[in-house]
Amino acid sequence: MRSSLKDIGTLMPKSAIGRNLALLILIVGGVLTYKVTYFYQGPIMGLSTYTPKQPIPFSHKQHAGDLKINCQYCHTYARRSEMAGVPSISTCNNCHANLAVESDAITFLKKNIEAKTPIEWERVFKLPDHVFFNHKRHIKKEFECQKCHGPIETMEVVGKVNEFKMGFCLDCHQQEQAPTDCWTCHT
Amino acid sequence: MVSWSFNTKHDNDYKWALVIDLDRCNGCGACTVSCQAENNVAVVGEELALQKRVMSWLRIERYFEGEWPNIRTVFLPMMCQQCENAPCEPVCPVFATYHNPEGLNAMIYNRCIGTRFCGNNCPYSVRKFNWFDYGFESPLNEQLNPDVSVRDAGVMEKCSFCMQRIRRGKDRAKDEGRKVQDGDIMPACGQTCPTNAITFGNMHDPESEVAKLIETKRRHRLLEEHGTHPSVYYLKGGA
Amino acid sequence: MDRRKFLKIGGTVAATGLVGSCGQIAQKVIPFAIPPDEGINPVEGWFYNTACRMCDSGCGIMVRVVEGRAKKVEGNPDHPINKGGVCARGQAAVQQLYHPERLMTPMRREGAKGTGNLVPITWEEAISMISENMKNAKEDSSFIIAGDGSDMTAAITARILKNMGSDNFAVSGFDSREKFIEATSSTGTPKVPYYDIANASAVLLLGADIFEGGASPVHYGWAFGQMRRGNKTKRGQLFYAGPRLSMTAASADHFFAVKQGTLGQFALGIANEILHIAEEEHLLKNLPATKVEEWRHAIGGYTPEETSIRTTVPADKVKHLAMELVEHLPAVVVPGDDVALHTNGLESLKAVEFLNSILRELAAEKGLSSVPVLPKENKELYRAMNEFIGVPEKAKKYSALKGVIGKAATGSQRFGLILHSNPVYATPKALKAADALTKVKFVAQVTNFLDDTSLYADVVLPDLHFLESWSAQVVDFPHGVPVFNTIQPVVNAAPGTMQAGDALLKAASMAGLGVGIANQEVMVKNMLIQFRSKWNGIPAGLNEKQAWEALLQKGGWWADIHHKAEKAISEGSAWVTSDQLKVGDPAFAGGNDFTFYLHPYSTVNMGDGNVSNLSWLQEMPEPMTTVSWGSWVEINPKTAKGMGVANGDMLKVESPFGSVEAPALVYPGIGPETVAVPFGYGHVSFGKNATARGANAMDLLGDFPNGNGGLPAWRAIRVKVTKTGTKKDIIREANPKGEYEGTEIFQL
Repeated sequence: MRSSLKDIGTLMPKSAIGRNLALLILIVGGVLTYKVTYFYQGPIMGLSTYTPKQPIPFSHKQHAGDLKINCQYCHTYARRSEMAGVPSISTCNNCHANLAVESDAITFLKKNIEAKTPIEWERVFKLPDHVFFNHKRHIKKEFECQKCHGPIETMEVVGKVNEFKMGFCLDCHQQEQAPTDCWTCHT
Repeated sequence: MVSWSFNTKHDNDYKWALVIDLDRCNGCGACTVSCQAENNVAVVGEELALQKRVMSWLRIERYFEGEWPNIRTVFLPMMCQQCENAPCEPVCPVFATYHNPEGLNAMIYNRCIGTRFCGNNCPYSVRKFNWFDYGFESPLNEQLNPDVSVRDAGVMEKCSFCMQRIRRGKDRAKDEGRKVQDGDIMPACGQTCPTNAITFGNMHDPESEVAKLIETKRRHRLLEEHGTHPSVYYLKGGA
Repeated sequence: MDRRKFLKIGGTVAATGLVGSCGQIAQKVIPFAIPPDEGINPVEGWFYNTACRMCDSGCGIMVRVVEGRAKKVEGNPDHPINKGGVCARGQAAVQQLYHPERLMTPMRREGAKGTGNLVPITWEEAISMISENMKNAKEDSSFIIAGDGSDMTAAITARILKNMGSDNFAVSGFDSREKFIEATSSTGTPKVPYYDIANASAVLLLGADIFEGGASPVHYGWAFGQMRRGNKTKRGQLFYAGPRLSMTAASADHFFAVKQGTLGQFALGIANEILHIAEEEHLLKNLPATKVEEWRHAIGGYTPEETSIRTTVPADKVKHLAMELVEHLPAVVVPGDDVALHTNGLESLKAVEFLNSILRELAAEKGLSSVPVLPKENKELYRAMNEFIGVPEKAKKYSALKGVIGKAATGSQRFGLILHSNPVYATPKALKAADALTKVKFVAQVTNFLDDTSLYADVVLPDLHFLESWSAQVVDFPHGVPVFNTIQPVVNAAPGTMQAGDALLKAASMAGLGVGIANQEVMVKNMLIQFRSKWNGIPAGLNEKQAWEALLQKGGWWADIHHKAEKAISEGSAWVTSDQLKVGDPAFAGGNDFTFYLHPYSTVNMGDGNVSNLSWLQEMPEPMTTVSWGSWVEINPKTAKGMGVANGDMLKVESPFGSVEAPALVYPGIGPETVAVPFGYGHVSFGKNATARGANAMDLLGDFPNGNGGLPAWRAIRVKVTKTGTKKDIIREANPKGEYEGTEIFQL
């Protein structure tokens, strides 16, 4: 390995322009690599949004869009808790006890209901470390869920359309005159 | 004779203060374990404890005076004093620690880059640095408090007056359309104290227990001559 | 360089880049299978009321549970014992629940006893093994050693033992207050007297470390807080007399250093002085003058000067203390281990009771009173509940434990059950518990962790943690009111585990020795049905399910406390007759070459050692010495200087019964002729945190009695101390400079 490192010197271009160009390519390439590998979940320069495959192909477009079911009917904890939560299988069973029972998806669901095991969904929206978000306070202010989560009711498969960078949160907080004390969100 | 709020505006709704009655503290140490359980404070182990790198946010200092058999003892629970004029705040190059509007000295883990200047400056030695990733061996990690971050190596940490409980108290009060009442919020140390030596509350509320205790003759703050203006008041013990 | 090498390097760099981003693995979101009720915030969690079982005080706790995990233990503010407080050990209960070394499967011994070769077996195998051996144990050839006599599993096993034709039941908790029962019963005062410190104006603790261990550290801690600041017009004073400045003594306003074994004489000296003051100030008018004269005559020899010679407390201090007690009524005197654990222990306890009765009379004369009286109907109720959940009274005595081990050593025992106890570790080595267990044909142990006793067991049954269990407890320390604690699971147990009490019930019924109880949960329900009518507070109109929920929500049942002013002489008590008013000089084990007094004691974080495997408690500095992660030998600074001993020097401490080695700790709170060694360390086998850490003070103790009702005189043992020449790092939190020289941070 040691000899290889020394040999890197022989790779450098001879001319000054060549050297600057090589440096530029290295820097840009490095930044791109870093961004793609570290932020691979986000939409970067037209690359696709992170839309993981879920155990059941649940379509928000069908339920929230066409059927116009309220977000909080399923995501019940949003109005009373920090987390919005994901519905338990008993919520699905409210309708699907008798609806569309022949489909593969519902058969799989029924199996889990029998066994009382929850469905393990792939997480889409995730905040960075040390950040705590309180859904209840935002619901009480009657913000639309779409404000942060994007047009969910148009999504067949939920995709992460928002990276939740701090700037996004702060813009709204400053506009709405919400607390901007760091400890409000970072405990 | 309400203590002069150095930084916190006088008309601010809340200014949190802690009052510790040294006449009641019997040194049992329940508060230290309670704090550790509540705030996901790591255990460092024997080797690091020998290097004085124990992570506990709250310690009980024990002072002797005199000689056998005329020997006296004082127990002094010591945690971050949430100084109004904190020496740790101006020295952070990235503003990871600052004074929040309610009188607390906030520590933001995301921002901290680990220069340790703040810990150096603290006259009470209450700041602890995560030298390593201590980790919580499974299944001990099941006990971790979901309201509090688990810190990794490279950041400073310290007592936050159980900020997560303050936040929840304010959240509940807001739901009910009122301000936080005295007794709504109690940090982990005070809740577990068998002798009720620790009282917590809003200093700006004249009816609160802390406001009344702060006005008594026994009140005392540590290293007051350094001008740090702590938010922790001690009630002197002894007859 | 050629292309191949370039690609190799490039590949390494790229790979490193990818590795760095590995933390961004997508997580799963798993909802509840059965959602919680409407209105509940699942992130905040909810609280379950139960009782703490880390010691046998029976504090009521509320446990915060988030997503099926126990997160934090808090006190139940309505509980009469702890009033919302929780001690350090109680807080560590969650660490015990989620400990990586928790035993989850039954184990069977393979190889000789003592080698610790255990293999896992199924529950069926374990239960059938136990059942077989239960069946084969003939009359009087079985025994049980339980760590705590107040809980349901102990009560169930006591019944099974009875069916097996034996009454060899012993409770092993040596910190238990049962040792006072025998000593005080003859004076007619209530068993295990309750000392009302909260309402007292002056409290004299005679070697009573009530904030650290014993009956209920949390309750007495609460009472202490009340005494100091609970009353707007007075602040109670605390006095402590004893041979060592303990954590409890550290809170005293005045500390009196008293020579070992002379606290009973000290009490009589104070009493004598009080009688003098009473004569001068014309007090004690309501007592027959002849009685008072009789006492004066009986204890007249205990003048301040005489007392000073016996106890080493200066005469003027004795006088001053007596004056303080008379001037600050109600005054209470609490006797502790330094009174009881001596050869003159029984006489000394009686002397203290005498002093207390005089002080009660003085207080009643002034219309002040502080001792709560247990109303008759509550006494009856307590007795009735104790029949359901309780063990024979004699089981709680040290003589029972000695007797059981002694019997086992003869080889006559065919079945032994060790229930949440560690007798191989927590009894003096001189009792030879390990040897005794090797001679028992079949030993079953119920425990949460493999420990020193597991090395000698044939089958080890894992019990559920108390946070996962159904159980109940009738608290043995009335505090003025009977307390019934319900213990309910706050989290689900791991699959494949089972409550040991239920397993034993199954084994018993398989052996034809059934006691008619289906399982522990049913037994708690039965108690509700039985006692519901007597438990005011559970409304009569509730149906069974509602009443059950009301009981669980409360956490048990207890009567409302009210302190009544009482007559000076508590009902049924006889005045101590004057011919009993003498306390002999103490005797000590060890001849002239044993130059030091030994003071073995329990620390607030280690207790009797059943929690030594918890890292929170190991890392927590012991309040007075501030040592963590290891044990020590305390030695007076002047003595240390004279011997050339510094902190960390390994010392060998040798008693007539055994020896230990531990690092020295220079401690200003003991006398020049005393060394102190804490209990709770020195396990031979107890997990990563506790094994081979420190020294076991029990190795220094032996059976040194007598004439004091069979109580072990553990504070009457003398030792020799020698330097071994080696050193060990001793971990202390305290700044050495701040220890003796005071500090600028705080002015006393």
